[in-house]
Amino acid sequence: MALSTASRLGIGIISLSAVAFLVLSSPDEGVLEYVYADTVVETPEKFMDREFKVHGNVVEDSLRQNPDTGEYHFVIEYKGKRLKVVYDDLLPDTFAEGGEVVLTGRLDPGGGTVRSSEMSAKCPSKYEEEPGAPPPQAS
Amino acid sequence: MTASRSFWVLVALSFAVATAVLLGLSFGVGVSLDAPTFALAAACVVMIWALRAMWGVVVALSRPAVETLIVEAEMAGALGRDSVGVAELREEKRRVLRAIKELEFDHAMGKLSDQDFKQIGDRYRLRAIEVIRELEPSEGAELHPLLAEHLAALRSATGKAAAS
Amino acid sequence: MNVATLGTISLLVLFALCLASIALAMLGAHRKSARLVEASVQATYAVAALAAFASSLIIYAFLADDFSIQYVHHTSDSAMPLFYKVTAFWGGLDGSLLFWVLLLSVFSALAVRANRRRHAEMIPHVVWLLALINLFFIGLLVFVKNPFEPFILTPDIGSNSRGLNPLLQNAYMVIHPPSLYLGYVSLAVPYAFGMAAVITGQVDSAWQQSVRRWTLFSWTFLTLGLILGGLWAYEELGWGGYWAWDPVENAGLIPWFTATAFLHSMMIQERRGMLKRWNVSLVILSFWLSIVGTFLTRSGVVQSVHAFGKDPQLAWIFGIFLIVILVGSFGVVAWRWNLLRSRAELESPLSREFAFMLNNWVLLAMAFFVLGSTIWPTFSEWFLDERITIRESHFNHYMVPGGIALLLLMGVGPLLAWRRTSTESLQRQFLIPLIIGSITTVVVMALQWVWLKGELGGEVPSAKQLGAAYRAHVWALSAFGLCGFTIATIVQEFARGIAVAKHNNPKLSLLDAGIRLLVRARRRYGGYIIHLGVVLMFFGIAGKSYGIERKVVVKPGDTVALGDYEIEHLGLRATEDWQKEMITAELGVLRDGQLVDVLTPARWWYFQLPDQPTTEVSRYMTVGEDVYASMQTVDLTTGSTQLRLFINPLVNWVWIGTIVMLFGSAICIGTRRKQGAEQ
Repeated sequence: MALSTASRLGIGIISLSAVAFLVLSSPDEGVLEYVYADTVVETPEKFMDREFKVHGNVVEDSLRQNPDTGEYHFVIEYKGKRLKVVYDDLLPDTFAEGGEVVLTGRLDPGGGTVRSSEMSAKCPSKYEEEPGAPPPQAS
Repeated sequence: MTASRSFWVLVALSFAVATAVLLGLSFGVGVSLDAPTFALAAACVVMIWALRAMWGVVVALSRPAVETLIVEAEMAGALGRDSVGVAELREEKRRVLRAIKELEFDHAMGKLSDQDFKQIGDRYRLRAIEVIRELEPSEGAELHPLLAEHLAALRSATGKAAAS
Repeated sequence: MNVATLGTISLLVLFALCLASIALAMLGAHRKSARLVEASVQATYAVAALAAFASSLIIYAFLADDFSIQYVHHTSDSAMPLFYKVTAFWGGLDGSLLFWVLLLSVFSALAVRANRRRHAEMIPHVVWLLALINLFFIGLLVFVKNPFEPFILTPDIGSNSRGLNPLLQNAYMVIHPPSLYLGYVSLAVPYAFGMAAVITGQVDSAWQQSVRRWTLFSWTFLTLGLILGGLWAYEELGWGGYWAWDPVENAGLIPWFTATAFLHSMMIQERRGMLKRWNVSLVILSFWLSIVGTFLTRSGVVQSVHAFGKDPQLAWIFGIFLIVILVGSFGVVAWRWNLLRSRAELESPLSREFAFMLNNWVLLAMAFFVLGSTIWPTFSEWFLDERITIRESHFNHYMVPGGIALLLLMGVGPLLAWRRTSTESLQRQFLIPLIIGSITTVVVMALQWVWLKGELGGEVPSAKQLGAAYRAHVWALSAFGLCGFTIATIVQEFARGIAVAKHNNPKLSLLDAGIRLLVRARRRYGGYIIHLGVVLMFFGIAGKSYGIERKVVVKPGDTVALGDYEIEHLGLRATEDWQKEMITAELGVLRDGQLVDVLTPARWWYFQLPDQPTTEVSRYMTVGEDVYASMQTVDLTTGSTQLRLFINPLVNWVWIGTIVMLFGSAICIGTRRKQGAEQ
């Protein structure tokens, strides 16, 4: 005597609904696109209304801090294309002008500035990656 | 040489070699007794074990098949263990008896219906009897008391069933 | 003859010996020759001894500072403390592979030795299966990543040998990788026995009984390794959490799911002869996923801060190995499919069998979800030319409900009867736990109301606000309620078990009856203790949802509010020792105006690595919460200090739960008893 048809049907429906519910209520920003600064500069329309990750090199001498708000302003570039950044969190340990950073943020309506609160920075000097090395990010 | 004696000989030899290496290095060559030296001595000892083990492969290969079985039985006897067939049976006996005990526990805790308990339990007990009978020549009268009771009850029950 | 040459030779001999053991075992099985099988068993022992020798050589090389060997040069330096020189053995990629070979060789030898007589027919297959896996790794060592590789031109002794990153020189980093390796590698043993059972057609639960201890051993070390990794991240990295769904973290977690499923599902096969196909599949998957984990961390296929770095050659080699294992193993299962038919069928959803099957499905789904999400970014880049990143929120969204489902099953499973739970049994078993669970939920919801009232400054929350708060914390609240339910189940099981023990032996005291229970029904009650540990961990994890985080910039004399506490900057200190420069901030932790503790978060600049300061976290630990501070940057001239401050409620219950789990595990594994004495 195996499971009755009613039981099987019931189990099937409950499982499928549970999975469907989870999938449909997925958070928008669970999956982010990861691009380089030049792509954002060339096609800003694609990045208008969502969060994304942008990778670029910090331009030397571009770092300023707004003394009232604590916001940092700097410029990142990739393959010659530049993007302004307004960053309102604490700078990560490994941040350095000339170094590579990956910012998570949104594009301003104007299309030329990225507002971000999350940044990870790679140290400009190379070191051999070893197991358990700490994430160089502040997030 | 029996297995256990040869094992202890190996251990003794290891110690002897380790001590010899350490003494030799410190007095003969003048190296201080620090960590690398101990590591070196340890490496020598392990090398001896490795060589001995590789020799064991050669020995095993060189024996004709029949002798292998005899040696195995001897070794088993010397170490107080059973030969292959008996070991498998003992293992099964252990499994079945443990299963019966778990059944009883589950039933007492209310996780097994009376009907299931009787049905599955009887099947296990019959198997237990079979296994014990097979082991009997070497076992003697080593029946678990609970099992002896069940056996007796089953015999009388089947006896009645057969008679009716 | 120097170490490098001797080491390389020993690896070559190891390879040949391993190959020989495979040939002997296969031939011995085919011809049913006891002589050949015995030789293959001896070869297994020899492989273990030789692997030990190679390992002792590399350790010697580290201790003797033999920098002519590339591996030693890259991962060690003469000034390193002795202990870390030894542990550098498995710190780098080549050495970690040798370590893997050592563990697998030793485990193979132990497993074969313990089961030679009990499972005589399966042993030849176990031998060649384990040896074949070993051969792959030894082959890697010999042909691709030789840890004994010397420099062609010896570099100057004075030139900078890189040495171990000081961040890795702490207790956790010493125990965490070996623990994980022990867990991963030992999964090969149940796999080999499972496959041997299928090949020889002996598909009943006999083989599982013998590997039950191995599987538990493996599970314990995987759990320990994973938790230690989390604890390390929490204490050392300063971002306030203990799990980030990083690909390498995931790599260790994925086989854990299927191993847990296997441990439980085994019981159903043992009792009712069901789920045989599940069990064989789970044991194959557990082993396969452990190799996938190794592949992910070593090939550079996924981006991670943990990974060893990109290595396309290794990626290909592992990739092919993985395909071979999967196709070969499931091929054999397909061949024996009919033999693996269940002896019985599922009869009711209200049965223990169904609960366990559901458990299998949930754990399997979780394993593949994490695996899929971990490699999805890589596939997206290769096939869709779209680079994406998957964030924690994606993982948490699916894994949290999964965890809740598991918590529910932990509470419900032990209460259900076999085959079909009658209405009467349902009432008798579920009544108390349901009551306790409901009371817990109501209490927790009331506490949430009180907390919300506090947040609103003392005014009574409206229904809308309350509703929003409940919705925001719905999973945490469910978790708390289920924790109550499951603990009630466990306590009830203990109480009733003791009653049964006393009933059978009325002269025993309560305590004696309890101990007898633990000893006789060790597996069951050890398991319940493990469940208790897991419940406590869920309790600790649920607290995260009520955490507070603040990022602030303060100067000495400033005070910041943090939840129920106030944090006062008491000043900065600059100090130095033989290894590093340190700047420490002193933060007073005040509650209701009273100083309860002083936190000392710091930044350390190791002389060895001046560009990478480390963050030293400081926390005030209580049963209810952690007050946690980490320092980002500091300016000594102005005293301006960037701090990340956290309140982590209930976090210490995660560690307490782990200890309980390990204790339960020890009870389950138990001590080795003399054969025949187990009545």
